[in-house]
Amino acid sequence: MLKTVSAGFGYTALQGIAAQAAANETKEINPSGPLGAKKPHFPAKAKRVIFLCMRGGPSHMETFDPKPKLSADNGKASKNQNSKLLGSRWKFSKHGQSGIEIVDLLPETSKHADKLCVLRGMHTDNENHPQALEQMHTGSFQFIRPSLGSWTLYGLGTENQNLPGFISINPLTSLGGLRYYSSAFLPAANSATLLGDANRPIRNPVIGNVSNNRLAPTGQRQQLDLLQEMNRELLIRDQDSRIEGLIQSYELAFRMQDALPKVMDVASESKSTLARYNADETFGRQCLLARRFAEAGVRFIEITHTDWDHHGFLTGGMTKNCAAIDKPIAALLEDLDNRGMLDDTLVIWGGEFGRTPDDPTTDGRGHNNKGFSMWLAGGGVKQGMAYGATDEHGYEAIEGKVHTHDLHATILHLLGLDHEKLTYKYGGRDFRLTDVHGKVVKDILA
Amino acid sequence: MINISNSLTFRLVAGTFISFLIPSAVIAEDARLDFFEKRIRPVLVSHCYKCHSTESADKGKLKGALALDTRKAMLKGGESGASIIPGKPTESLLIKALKYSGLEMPPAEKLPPQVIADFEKWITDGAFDPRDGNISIKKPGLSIEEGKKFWSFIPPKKFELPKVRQNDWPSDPIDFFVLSKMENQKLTPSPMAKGSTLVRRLYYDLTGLPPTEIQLTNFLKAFSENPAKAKLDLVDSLLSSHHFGEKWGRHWLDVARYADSNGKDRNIYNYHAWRYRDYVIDSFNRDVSFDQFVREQIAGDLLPAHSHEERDRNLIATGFLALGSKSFEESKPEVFRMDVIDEQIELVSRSVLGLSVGCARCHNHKFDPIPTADYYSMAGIFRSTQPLYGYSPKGIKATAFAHTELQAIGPDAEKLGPAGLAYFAKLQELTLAQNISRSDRYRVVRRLSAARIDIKKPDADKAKLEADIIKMEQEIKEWDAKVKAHETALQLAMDNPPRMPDWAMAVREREKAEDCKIHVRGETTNLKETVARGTLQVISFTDAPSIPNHQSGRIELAAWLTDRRNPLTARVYVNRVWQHLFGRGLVSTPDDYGVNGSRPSHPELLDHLALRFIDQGGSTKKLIRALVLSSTYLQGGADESQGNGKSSDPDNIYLSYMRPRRLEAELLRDAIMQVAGTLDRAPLPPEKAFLAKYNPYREDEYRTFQPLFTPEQIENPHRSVYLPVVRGVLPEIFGLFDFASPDRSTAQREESIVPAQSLYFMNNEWVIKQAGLLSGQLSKDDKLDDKGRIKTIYRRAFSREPSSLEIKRALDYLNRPELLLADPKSKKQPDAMQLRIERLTSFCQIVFASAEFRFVK
Repeated sequence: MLKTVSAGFGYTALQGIAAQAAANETKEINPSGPLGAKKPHFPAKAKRVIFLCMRGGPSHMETFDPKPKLSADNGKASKNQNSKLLGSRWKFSKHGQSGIEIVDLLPETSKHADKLCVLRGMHTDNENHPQALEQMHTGSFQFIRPSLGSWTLYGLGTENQNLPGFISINPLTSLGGLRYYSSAFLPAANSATLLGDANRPIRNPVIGNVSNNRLAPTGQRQQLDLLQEMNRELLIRDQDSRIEGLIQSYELAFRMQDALPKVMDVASESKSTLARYNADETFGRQCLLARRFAEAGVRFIEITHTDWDHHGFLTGGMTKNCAAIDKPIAALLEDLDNRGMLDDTLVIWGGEFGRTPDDPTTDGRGHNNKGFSMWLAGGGVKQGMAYGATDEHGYEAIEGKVHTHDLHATILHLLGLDHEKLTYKYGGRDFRLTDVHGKVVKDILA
Repeated sequence: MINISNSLTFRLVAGTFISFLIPSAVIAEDARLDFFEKRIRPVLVSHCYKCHSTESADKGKLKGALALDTRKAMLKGGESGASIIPGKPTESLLIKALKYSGLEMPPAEKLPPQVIADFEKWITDGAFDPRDGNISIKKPGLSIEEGKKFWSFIPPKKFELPKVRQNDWPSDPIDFFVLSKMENQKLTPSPMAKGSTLVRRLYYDLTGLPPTEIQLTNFLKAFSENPAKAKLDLVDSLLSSHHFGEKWGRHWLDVARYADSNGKDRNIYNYHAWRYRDYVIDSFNRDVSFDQFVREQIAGDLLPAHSHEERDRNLIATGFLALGSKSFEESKPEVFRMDVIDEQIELVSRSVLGLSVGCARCHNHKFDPIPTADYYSMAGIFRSTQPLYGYSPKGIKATAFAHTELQAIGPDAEKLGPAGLAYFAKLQELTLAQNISRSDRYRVVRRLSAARIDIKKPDADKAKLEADIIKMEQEIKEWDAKVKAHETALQLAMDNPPRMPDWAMAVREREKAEDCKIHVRGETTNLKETVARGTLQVISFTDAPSIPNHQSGRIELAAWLTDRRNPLTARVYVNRVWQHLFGRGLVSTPDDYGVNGSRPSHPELLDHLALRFIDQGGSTKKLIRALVLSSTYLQGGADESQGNGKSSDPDNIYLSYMRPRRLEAELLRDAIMQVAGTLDRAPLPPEKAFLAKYNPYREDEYRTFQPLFTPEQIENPHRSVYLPVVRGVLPEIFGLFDFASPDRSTAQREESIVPAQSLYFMNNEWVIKQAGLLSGQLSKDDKLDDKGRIKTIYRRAFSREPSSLEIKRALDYLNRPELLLADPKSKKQPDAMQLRIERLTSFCQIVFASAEFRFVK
């Protein structure tokens, strides 16, 4: 709830002032607005997050977890019935000074190996897509809980009042997907703003109601001026803080109308940049938008790449998907680094789980929640590190195990938030992202 | 008792002292004592006591109700059971926790293997433990005995009307309680609101719609002649309008987490849920006693009925228990079943009792006097009850085991029901056969495509692969025919349904009633003792009938919920009604009456209302009538307040003025449509129910698991309460304006203010279209000039006349050269007439967007 300001109701400051100035003013007037910037529990390493969500469960054996023993045992019986071990069709090579081994399908991303902190001991509780994805996003798959992005926004507020604080581009909407980005019981302002839809991924996702094709901007300003005049009269009469909130919200919306399309308009990017990102393709455009949103001060940005569920067509699927994500991710890491933003931007790559080392067919893999890989980059994690391991075949994590809850605790820690203290009271109980679990993985902190 | 804050040295002495008391065992114990003191106690002290000791309990930091600082406490254990079983290290939870298997203790870091080995040895050798002292850990939260003394578990009491100074103000006993508190706070009531404020407030509060121009004029005329009579007449006529049920039924639908689709991972439609929605609206319109209303929803199928209409009504009511969101992806049938039961327990306890009993699924309730045993005694009732939520799509693992059905209703239900269900089962069978044949075919396709890749490899056995490919191509052809045959059979069956009864979601008794076992930590694989079916111990009546062996116990559950001695039911209900009329409940946590809930601001008033409600036979209309005719309700807003209530009491706890309330999502949509003249005020006829026209067996939907939400549904001209509530795919205006999440019982909606709402009013096509319809309609009316048009808009939207200043300002706006864009379709610049209408449209949009429109004063 917005707080009333004792003197002048704060509206005079909002008249006729340039957008950004007004935004700053708003911050001062109303630091406790639903999304006002808040102090973390302790000094933060990361100020914002870009989560590259790979839906379907990308194979760790074909990306970041080399398994020479699996290749050697190719075709031998698996411990799972009716299945045979299946070695990766691709080679892994050492990269950078750190010598992290990455599959040859990702040559561009591999150039940034020294920026990555690869987690090879990931594990999670459920081996079904919807549940695992939900746990990855909210910590829970049994109950509807706020998303990681919502918790982040709730904990830190937004850096730019002209833009949403939590944006999900081409989000997953089927199989209960919208719940991955919901604020659940947290105040609704912490929900994600959704751009596009993963079912129909588009290159130029749009946000609803952000443009008016009937009124020119000056005409709309006239309209807004009369509206605000009427609202201010009511505010004087009723002295209700919510009316003041409404007045501010209209001003923010007006500025957002201006700011959001600007951030999303990539016309100002050079040809070479667009080419580096493969910005004509859906995922490339998403990575570029993610960088632009990050620059503009959006707190939590999630982008999505689907179709990693390779029960069959592993060969074709991995080739295609890796090609789609390789250049854009490399460009994103490169740009963040060049702008000095990698220091305080946490990039997360991964899916809801990994895959089994075996398959009943000869070109596919099953779901594997017991061991898989993700990586983090920037934002206060160690660089050029491979942490944890699965067994020799890749069935399950055996060393440096990191559960989804631990990952969440660590992400919040990097953002300056104590996962045990970031709570919200709902229905008589204090809730946390990590419920009663989660340990910060101290070994990977820079 | 040993004071654990003392040093280790002290303990060594104390331990030694104890061992001297048992001389016969001195020698053996010396070694064991030594081992304990050197290897065990230091570890416990440095790694465990911080969270598991009397001292941590005193500081409120005890975790898991487990203390490890005395022998007895250690043997007794905490929430998860005994921490050690002497002689059996593998069965001891402590060892499991130290080994990070299941539990992980200490949480910071696993202890070195040698230390864990020490503990194993210690337990193997009998867990010698010199630490005397009793368990003095007080469990957090209330015991049942303490709970019975907690305010909300004490039955409501009758109170004398308090003395007040301004005794000409109260018009109802309610006002005495309110005024007395106000006077204590040195506040003065505000004068009665103006007629135009009252009429808008009453129309919105009783029907959810603003008054029409004629209704407004009629009331203001009557009000100027005889205010008291005008108010009474209006209230009585609004209470008898069918819009009353549409407004107040919706509040119950929030609590009942009503939805037209399942939500979660398989968001399939609840094709027949709308009957429950209509039942709720109808019940409020008929002013069914709240007791009866609860009884029907919990046990309607078990109540006597005198006609098939009454029987159907009772059956439809039990849809309440069947409408929850289910995890159809859950692969363990028993987990699925217990999850459904959990949802039902949480629903019933939150909606009727204002308590979260669900917390007790895994452990005794942390705060409230609800032990796990009580949860499982309620679970037994629902375990003995079969929810009928519809046939399940095949391929969904859990429900493939749990055959589910629907309830046949209508005059011929008994005759047509079995054949209808058999038909559904047949469709299911045929679909399954079709899908299996499709996936078998697909398997060959996959092998074939792999072979086609392999054959290109240099080391490929080309001859063999070529033969394989030819064979597989032939196989696929055979499969094509088989698939086709299955598809035809299914289509044939779908095209030829038998004569069907109507269907409803409902519940019925299972063939065998059974008690439930306690599930440790809520796990279906960790069962303990069986508890008898029953209700919460903290609310118990000595003469309560016991549950017959062969029945679920829902009749008894309903009787317990609606017993006039039940301290919660009436309080919870009257408080919700109060909250909807005054913007804030007397208990501001309307679904938490436990230890963590807020205490009532006016406890005597709450009890007064609860008892009055019970004495008046649970009539919602009588309750609301009394509230809206009270002097408290009729007060003006903060601007009319004389007692400075606004500044000293901004949250309006003491009710010395009326605080504006925001229009909820449905009211906003209905009001825009009514003002624009596009609302169809008739109740939605059953044949137009959103899902009624669909074939209830849509295979495509089962494949995509994503309900389609079409624009026609938001364009539906009927009131918003009739729009389908598709979980996760709400109409935009619902999602933006804090519609109650249909995923769980909601007693109080959020009230968010976010820019996306503003953008909606500024740019949304539907809003602009409605504004355009209003301006078009008014522009065509030759009897009106612009001034008349502005007045009409003010009357319809704000229920008042505009001031001369407001008229002038609006006229100025209409005459301004507003910058319109060229028509995007024709690229033509708008002509003069178009411009005039567009300007009026843009003004109408301002009115919809204004704070005055979006709030009720």
